[in-house]
Amino acid sequence: MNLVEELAKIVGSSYVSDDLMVRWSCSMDSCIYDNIEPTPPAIVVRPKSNEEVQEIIHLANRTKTPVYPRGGGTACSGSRGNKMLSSILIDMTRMNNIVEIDEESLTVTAQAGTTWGKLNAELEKKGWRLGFKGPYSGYASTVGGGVAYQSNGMGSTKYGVLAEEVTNLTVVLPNGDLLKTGTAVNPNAKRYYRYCIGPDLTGLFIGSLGTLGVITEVTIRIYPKATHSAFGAYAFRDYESCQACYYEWLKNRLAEDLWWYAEDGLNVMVPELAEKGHKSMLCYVVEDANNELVEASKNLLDQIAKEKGGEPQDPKYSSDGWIYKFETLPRWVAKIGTWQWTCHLAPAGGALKDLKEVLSYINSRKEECKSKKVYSSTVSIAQKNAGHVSTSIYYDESNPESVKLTKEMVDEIVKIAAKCGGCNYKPGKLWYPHTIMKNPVYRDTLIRLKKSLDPNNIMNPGALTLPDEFWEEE
Amino acid sequence: MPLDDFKKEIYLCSRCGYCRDMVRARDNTDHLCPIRENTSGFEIYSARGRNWIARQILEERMSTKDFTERFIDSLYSCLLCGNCTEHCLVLEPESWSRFPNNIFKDHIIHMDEITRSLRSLVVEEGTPPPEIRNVLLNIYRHGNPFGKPREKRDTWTRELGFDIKNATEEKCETLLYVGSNASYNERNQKTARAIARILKSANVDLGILGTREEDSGGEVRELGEEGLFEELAKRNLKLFREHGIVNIVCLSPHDYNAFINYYPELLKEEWSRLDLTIQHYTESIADLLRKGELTVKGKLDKKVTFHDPCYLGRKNAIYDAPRKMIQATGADLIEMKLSRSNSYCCGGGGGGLWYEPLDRPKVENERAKQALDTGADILAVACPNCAQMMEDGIKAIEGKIKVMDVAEIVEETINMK
Repeated sequence: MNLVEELAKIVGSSYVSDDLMVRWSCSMDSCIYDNIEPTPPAIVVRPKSNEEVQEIIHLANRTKTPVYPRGGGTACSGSRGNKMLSSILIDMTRMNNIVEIDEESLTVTAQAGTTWGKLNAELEKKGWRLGFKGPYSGYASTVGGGVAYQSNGMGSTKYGVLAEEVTNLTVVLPNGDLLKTGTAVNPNAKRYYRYCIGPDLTGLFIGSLGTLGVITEVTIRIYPKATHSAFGAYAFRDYESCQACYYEWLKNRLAEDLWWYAEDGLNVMVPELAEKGHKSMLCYVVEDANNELVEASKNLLDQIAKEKGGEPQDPKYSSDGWIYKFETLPRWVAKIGTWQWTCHLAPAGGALKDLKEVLSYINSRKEECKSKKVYSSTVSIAQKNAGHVSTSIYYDESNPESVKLTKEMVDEIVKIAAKCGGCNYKPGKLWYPHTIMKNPVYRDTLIRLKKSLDPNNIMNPGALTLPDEFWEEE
Repeated sequence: MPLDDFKKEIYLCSRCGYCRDMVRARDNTDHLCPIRENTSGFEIYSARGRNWIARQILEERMSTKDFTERFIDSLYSCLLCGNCTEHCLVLEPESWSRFPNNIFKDHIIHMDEITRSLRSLVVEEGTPPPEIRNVLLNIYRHGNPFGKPREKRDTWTRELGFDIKNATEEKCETLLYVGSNASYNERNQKTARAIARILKSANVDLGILGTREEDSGGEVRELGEEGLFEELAKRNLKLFREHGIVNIVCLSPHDYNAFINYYPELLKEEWSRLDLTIQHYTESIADLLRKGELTVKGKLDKKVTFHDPCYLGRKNAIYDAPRKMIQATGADLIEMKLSRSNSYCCGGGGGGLWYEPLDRPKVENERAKQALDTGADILAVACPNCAQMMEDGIKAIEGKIKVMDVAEIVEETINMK
């Protein structure tokens, strides 16, 4: 059977290709692991509808061909499995329609390939906004990719990671069936709530990296467009007072977003503050449709910061990052090189412990970093009751020594974070050795789930440490 | 420039994909890559995908021998419109203070130039698509992409209504560099005449190179034929030097862009020593209007929308001059949603005028629809390629809007016989 011809019958000959260059152009994403050894898929296909995805999956099952669903291609922690070379890569970005903005249910449903940029822009036009606005790569990354990858990002302080805002999913299962989750289990019901009917099957697919099915539609909560906003930035001369302020800010849940630049971040991002002896800076964003609420929140956050010893800074440090959301990171690339993230969760009140350990390690490699032009910026971005601690390593991808050092540092930082009790939210190769591989019961449960849903193991085999072939394990 | 020269840029691409998909509410950014969204849309039809392939070549995982028909199609489908470069957020740190009002030159990764460099590998390999090969051969043999005789290069002057100086025979203050398209294409010959009449009515001492005018080679370079471009650039240098040219007014933004950006890079001091003043005609005419050296009679009671040519707007930041020309006529200027630095290509850049891509994207039809959406009576252009493409697009969608060059619009209203 010629797979390309069969796929062409499903999506049309324009939207399937096994051309060498088409394949190679999909051999990357944004992770250092996948860029050192890029691997192209066997075939790239671009479906337009749920039905086309179902037919593709039927075909893959009949032929036992691995499948890798891909959103914006911006994953940065190693989401690819081990069968890329023989896989059909499903490029979801042609499925980019907003299905419905449901004002009655306060939700929006979008096809999985819709970018966060498009979703935000369309909602804004209609007088709405998202709580979780998208990951930091939001102009190109997709809502389906965000769910499969368990994204955090802009707005996570108040609304949590994307998972917490998702109410319903539509998923093409590995057998080709179309599963609708949440209230949509009732054929007469709209898509508006997640925790109902029975076990939370929505959650099963969040962070699944496409191993359990292809997410084709995502329903997310919406809120009235913010008409008022306030921004604040405070510098601190020691970490302890900064941590205290961060914790208090986070506890009162007023900020839409708040983040903490550690010393290395200040050196790179705001050197003028580092030069004045500041160790870190906290920024907050408040926004709402009601100005009184915004003003009151701002006053309280400012008061807390001052009580904890924060020195007020130009609110531009905060507003720039928010107004130009999704635009900050690529700009830094120009100055100091491309980046690789670590990223882990730590308890809100304990983020400092992780930060200090990570910073101490980075300091120990200071001279090497200097000579190989590797820079770091460590931040902690609040996420409800947790702090997302992340070190961005900026490096020169054209210099093998710089790449080698970066990879070593990333692996070591992740190791330190795991030892401190941190946990990844984004699944991927960076973290497997410290989490899933350390917990046989968790992994075994995953394998059983995978086996029952995907007996031919066609969906992104090898990802999440799941076996490439089941018989290897038996 | 060889691909190696773009190494830093290629490695600075962090594959964020913004060049492919950015939709941004604050400045109406949308429809970022006209080719990706109107073709099969595979990653090679985006700057990010081609940059990644370029990197595989630098790392010797691939070579030009691996280039497939589909990849070559993706290279020549690209209109080099620069919208990807314009929206790339890898900005020169020195320009951050201008953010978010950066200009084209602030962007470090020149996606369009990387694509052009990949095209030059295709030409070196001898595998460009047949249409492109013909265009290059025509320019090589006849000095114009259409394969028309050199002696007919000045036939556009026949209906001018006055004698225009030949700069190779007598001194003139300003040279109108007509370029290949407007010299031969009947539709664009009207634009050449409109510009010449406007400048004459403002008493500009104007001349042309007539049958001795050479193609600027700008589009030759964009098609990947660096050797022929170099030859043409040297011929133009010699011509301008021999005849003491001091001021050049370009009709086509493509030629303007070549003289402003490509020639200095190639010819260096030899070019700068000429000390030329080079303007696009919209700048010259807007200046004349501003100084009162050109007067407008009456009011054009029409709604006009303006399509920014990529090589005038994005690549050279000339956005206001053509608008000032329209406003001077008293017409009601209505902006399209995608305008100025967000403008959507007409489909005629980067070889789009000649190349018929495998997926036939028909970008001109899409832009024509955007113009119709404004409700304007006239779709104004300022580039011969745009004029042709937009007329085709309007015809294809059977739109009721008249395509006019801004020079033709001004000509209708100036005080002249």
